[in-house]
Amino acid sequence: MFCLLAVLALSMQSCLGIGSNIGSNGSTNFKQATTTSNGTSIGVNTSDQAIFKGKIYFTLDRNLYVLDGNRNIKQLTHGMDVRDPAVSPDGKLIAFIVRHDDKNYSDLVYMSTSGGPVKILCTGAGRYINNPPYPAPKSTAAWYAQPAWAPDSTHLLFLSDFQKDKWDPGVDAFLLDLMVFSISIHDSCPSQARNVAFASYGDGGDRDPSYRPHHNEVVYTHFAYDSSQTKQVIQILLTNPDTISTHPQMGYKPGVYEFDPAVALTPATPDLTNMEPTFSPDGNSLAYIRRQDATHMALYIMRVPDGLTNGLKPTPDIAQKALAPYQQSSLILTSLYVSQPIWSPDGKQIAYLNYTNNVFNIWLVNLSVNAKTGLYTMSNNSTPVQLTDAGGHLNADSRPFWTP
Amino acid sequence: MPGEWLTMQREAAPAGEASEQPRSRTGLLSSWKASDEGLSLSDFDAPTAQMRVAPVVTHERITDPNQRPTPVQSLASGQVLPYVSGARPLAPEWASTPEQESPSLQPLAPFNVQPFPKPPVWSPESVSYQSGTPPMAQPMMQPMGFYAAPPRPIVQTPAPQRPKKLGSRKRRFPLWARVVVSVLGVLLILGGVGIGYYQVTFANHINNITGQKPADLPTPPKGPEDTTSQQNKMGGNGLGSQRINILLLGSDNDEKFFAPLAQTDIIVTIDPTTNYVGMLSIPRDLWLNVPGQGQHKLDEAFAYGWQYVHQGPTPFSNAVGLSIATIQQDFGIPITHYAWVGLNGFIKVIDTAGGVDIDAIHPMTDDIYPNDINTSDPYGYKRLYIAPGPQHMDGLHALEYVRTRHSDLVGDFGRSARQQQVLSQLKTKLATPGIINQLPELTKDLDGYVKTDMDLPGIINLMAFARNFDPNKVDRVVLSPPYSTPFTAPNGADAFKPVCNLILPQIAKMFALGNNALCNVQADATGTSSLASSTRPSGPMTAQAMDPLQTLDQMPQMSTESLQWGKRDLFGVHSLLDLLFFVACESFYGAEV
Repeated sequence: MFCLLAVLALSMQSCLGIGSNIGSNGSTNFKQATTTSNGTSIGVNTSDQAIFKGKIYFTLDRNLYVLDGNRNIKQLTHGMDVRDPAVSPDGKLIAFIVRHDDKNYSDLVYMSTSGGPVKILCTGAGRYINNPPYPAPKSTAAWYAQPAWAPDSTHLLFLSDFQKDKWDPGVDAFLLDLMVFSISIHDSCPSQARNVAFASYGDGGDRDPSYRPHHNEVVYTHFAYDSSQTKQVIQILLTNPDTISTHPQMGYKPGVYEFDPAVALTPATPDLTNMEPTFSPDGNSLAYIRRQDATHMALYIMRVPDGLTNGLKPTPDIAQKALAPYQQSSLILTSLYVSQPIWSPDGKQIAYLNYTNNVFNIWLVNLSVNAKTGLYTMSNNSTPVQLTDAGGHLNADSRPFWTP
Repeated sequence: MPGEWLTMQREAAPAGEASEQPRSRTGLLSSWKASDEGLSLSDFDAPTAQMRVAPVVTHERITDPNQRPTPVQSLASGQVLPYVSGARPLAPEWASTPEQESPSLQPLAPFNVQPFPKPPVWSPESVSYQSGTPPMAQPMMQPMGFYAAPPRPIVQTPAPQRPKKLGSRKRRFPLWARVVVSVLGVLLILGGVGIGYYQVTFANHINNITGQKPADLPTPPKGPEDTTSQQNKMGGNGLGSQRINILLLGSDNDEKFFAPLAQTDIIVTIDPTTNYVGMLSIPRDLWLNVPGQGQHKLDEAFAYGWQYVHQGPTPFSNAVGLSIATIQQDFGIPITHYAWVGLNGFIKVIDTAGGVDIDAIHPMTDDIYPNDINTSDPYGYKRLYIAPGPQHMDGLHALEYVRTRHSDLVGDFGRSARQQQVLSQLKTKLATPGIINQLPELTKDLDGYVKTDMDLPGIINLMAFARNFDPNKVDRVVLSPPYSTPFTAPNGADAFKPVCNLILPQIAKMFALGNNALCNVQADATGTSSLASSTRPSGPMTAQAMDPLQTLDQMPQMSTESLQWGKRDLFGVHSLLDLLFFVACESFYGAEV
């Protein structure tokens, strides 16, 4: 009987977490890294297949963490609801979002990557006020989300709905959602923020803004309804960050009659979702996520040509040129839930969030690029590898970040 | 020989020869040597359990009843067996001359003659071993008056036999009977354990949920007769043959909260004969005549009943009673059943299940999401911003995701799509084998957050019907504009005034009321209306609060109905969960968990 119990206990080690060095995928290459005073710990893959360089920033239980290539993990924030970290290209500052859900707003903040006080750049604090003739009140509070640094390490892209009252006064402003803005960390927010990209109406707005390396262009995900107002049209758009703000005479506007200079990199097919774009470090390729069906999501990479955002609005030729590479997208991997891809600084790997064994974790995939075509594929003799074993603590709705 | 005896028939076998070898040697009898006993498995017949056994002892045919049977052991000439009596040894000549008789066997003296019992006739075909009396065990008594020294009584003992092996002992009770009794005993014990487990773990919670009768308050319009005796006359859906109207109430807090409001007021009507299903959603802010309380919003009817009506046994029963009375009086809709849900129950169940992981369709922003969970301001609002894409949601955020109304342009269709996502994921989680261990916790989660006057079999039937019904075929009407118009109530509250000329035809059609449909939403001149006592129509699923014995009686029915619909619905917990989500989501999709 004792022998049986002993065998049973040994076989259940991974379930019981006794001396566990086993990831949720059954791999035995995970070392436990205790990180906080309350004992929150995650496993980090120590195998050769999980080697990476630089630092990856992410959130666990809404606290900010950084994992380096030596498999050391460090907690950077305490007691705040933190999301969407982004490190400046010069490596000195880290911007992120602090949510105050109990008070209906969020703040855009930044601090030194070496630690220290947090500085609030944009605050969304507000309150409910009467809104006659409507019975329901309206709120002066605002959301801020997903900061992304410009190459100059001074300007930031961000999402916000602080302009919901400004556009279409005759339309219910509550349905005017988050749009893309930019601001200098030395400016006053939101008064000096500039419109970069507009949002449609009633479908949640824009997401995932980021600069295209070596180009003055911004890529983002645009959510909208089709003409019947019943189906989703979710596309990846590319725009010049200065066009709207420097050409007010063009009549660009968001909302019901949306008009802006952005060009589509993916088709406007109802019920087709292409989202979460991220450019390779050389700026020539774009990794993104596509919903294939109800139970599959996929990571794709496609080339993106130059010269798409020179005009004030897309011409048919430009629109065709922008859409052409989409059909040659390379399928890298597929899973139930795949999201938040980020490139390694050297462009040889992509880290992403994958859902296995009922939890989200950071995974790595090694890439090869065809020297002739520039198309990326998964490296030969390589398979995606699980980097973390976060035990369900990883926040999958928070965009991670990878620095050198 | 003492021991057990078996009824058996002797196989026709040559004397001294062994029967065929047994096919297998297992169990207690495995030490038997086949050659010794001549047994084979074919000798064991079922189900009679009579053994056909090759004879243990081989006997020669004996035709002369007076001839002593030859013992098994072979003896050398003149050798005396130890069991031979003290009779004088027979002369060898006598032994070989059957016509000579031993002096001990000479006829008795004429007086007090006791005739020798006729010895049994032996034949190779039949050797009958009867219980209790071994052959030749009766002593052969000497006759009285024998002048010679009376010989010692010859106690003829049976021929020596091999030691009885296991299995051939006498059996007082057939093996098959012992097996049957054992199995029945185990089943009885298991059944008792199961019932005990149910009583300890589930019964109290389920009794707190089901059979919660509301207070009978105002005079209802003519409605369906008591259909208890007419259940299941028509249709195979177990809902009876009469239309049923179920009032669904949802509150932000459980019954422990002081005078909660009912934010959700939906009436589901089901016509079992035609399978017509309608859902009438009445906005919580609709300005109505609340019996005995004057003009108020509909959600306040629940709170006023809780606080100011005292006709029922509990504040909750009064709250439900007044809500029912309001509907019946103002619209003429007879309510046959109700189900109330505290929205916190939704949160608790999802948290017990470990949350849900879903792919949010698009970003969700809502500036006026009702902030009515665990707050002192029942009319408060909060802002939502839910990111798109795969993520984990706990109970609170899952509830926000499925409830938000202002996050998209497609209204209820958008909500339905989100509800299906969450409920589908929850269904997957609840379908894992490990959920058995969480059933007690889930049942506890429901206690205090789900109440209904229906009994558990009725709930199982209703949810089974709902699961199999196409949600797209539900006839839905919401009494929001144009069926109502916003206005400022006399007490300064923001409310909606019913537009009766549009409401009347809708409810007349939906509930088959004809001229009985009402839009009696104004109070009388005094601003109040009295409560008349009367009985409201009872439906097929009304039950008194159950005692354990009643629950036991219904368990077989519950099990049968669960199995009938092919769902794992141990103790009805699954159906109760479906009811919770059905009400919380205000949708038949909720019944598919």
